[in-house]
Amino acid sequence: MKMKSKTAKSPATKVVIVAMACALGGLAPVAASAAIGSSCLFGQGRILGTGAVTAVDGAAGGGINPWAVISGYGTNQQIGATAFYSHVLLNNYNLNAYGASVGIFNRIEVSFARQGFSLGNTGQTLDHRILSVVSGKPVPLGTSTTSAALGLSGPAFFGSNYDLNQDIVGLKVRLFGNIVYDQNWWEPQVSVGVDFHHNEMPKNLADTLHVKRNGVSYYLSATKVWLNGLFGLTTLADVNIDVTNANQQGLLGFGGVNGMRYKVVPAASVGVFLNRHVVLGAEYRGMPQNQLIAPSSGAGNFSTLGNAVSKTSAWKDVYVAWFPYKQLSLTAAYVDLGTIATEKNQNGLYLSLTTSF
Amino acid sequence: MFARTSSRLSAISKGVALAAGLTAVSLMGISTASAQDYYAQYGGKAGITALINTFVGNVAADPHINYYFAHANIPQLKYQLVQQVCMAVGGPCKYTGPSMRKVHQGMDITQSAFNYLAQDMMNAMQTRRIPMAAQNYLIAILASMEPQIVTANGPLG
Repeated sequence: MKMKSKTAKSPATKVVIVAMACALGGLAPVAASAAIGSSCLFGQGRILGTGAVTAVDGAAGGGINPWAVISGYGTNQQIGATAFYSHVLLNNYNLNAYGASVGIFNRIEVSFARQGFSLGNTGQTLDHRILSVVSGKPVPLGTSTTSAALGLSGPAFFGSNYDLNQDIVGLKVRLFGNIVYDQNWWEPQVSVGVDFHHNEMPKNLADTLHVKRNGVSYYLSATKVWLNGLFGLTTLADVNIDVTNANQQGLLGFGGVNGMRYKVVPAASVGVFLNRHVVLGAEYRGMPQNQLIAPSSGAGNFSTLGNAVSKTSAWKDVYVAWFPYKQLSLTAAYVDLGTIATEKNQNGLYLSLTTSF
Repeated sequence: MFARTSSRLSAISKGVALAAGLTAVSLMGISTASAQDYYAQYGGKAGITALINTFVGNVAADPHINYYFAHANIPQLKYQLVQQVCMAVGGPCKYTGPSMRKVHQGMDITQSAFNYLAQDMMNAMQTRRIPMAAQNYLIAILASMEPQIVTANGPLG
């Protein structure tokens, strides 16, 4: 691969040579004269770790919060991409998510995620609980038939193998700031994001819950990194403002009995890099409380059921993420999602893998 | 230049409410060790000279950026870097070379090249077993010099 730089006379030749060098992984010294001031369109020119990991909604960030960073490792002249898979093992449910994203010129991030929330055996418990509440008397387990009064079909609506699925398309734009270069003053990196959700729950379930299946959420994210922060270790803090009407991030639809009113909800993350490859941290994400099924003060058993199903807790986690190299990150976390669909104490293990290229 | 031109206090006064919380953490984040302590952690002048030798070796072996230095006067480069790092970490040295902006102007240096160089420095510090906080002290100074060194713009800024 020895080519004289003389061959790069015309701009067109120069472009071809840069493109060739890029195709070869940017490793060919042939790019020497041609590549000064140029850079490969697809590259990973940012510093290790600055692509963060992938939140369950598909955006670059922590495990549950998007951050102001743009996914992948592309600089302002490069395009990067990521793919991820996450699994959350809770006491009564399993949540898995996978997806991909493209980071464009360290300015725009487009992401896609598909989430599956598996009720497992808890579906039968929920059927039974719904029937007990609605009929106003204890019903022996095993005779569980979800009441037709709920408008739900089938003898056991959820049964033993029910999945709530949703797709999320996210768009994030960095407004200003740079987590690495802004070291001598307070300015954080700030981005705005919008998530378009489509939940695939059947219409009769959505009608019963009084939720919509499509929703749009917005957030403003400010992320600050001090390269020599606490104890001289690289330290990250992120503060988000979510503007949303999503129930459990949309897994239980959007809005409620009182309509689709948006709520402003705070979220935050922190992290400390123990070295260049390992970061320890914690996250918090507030959730709106929408009243589902029936008004809380309404008469009858429906409001009791509604109040139980509406109970939402802030999502929290403690995580450790490992960046062996730019192409891979692995995250393990202990998550506490609180009460979900009447089941309390939904905590457990979160595992996530992100590849960047 | 390595001299820190921190105007943190005046910057804070311009802060918006959103940044207020972050700023509080920022003030916490000020390192407890002084620059003089770091000079010792770098192994003094000898340690810094060894570090720069390793660093320049890394750069020479780094296909992302080595071509930038194809025609550089390496002994002179090493000398200037030693002076600069020595001064930045509180050592008894004085960098008298031209400003970072002047040295790099017209070179159309990309963010990517800047970052690969920073990564080569981090690797060199790791090789030389510089303590993490001392590493980060220098890297933070280097990172803040990006606006003076990187002049190539991206399509979206």
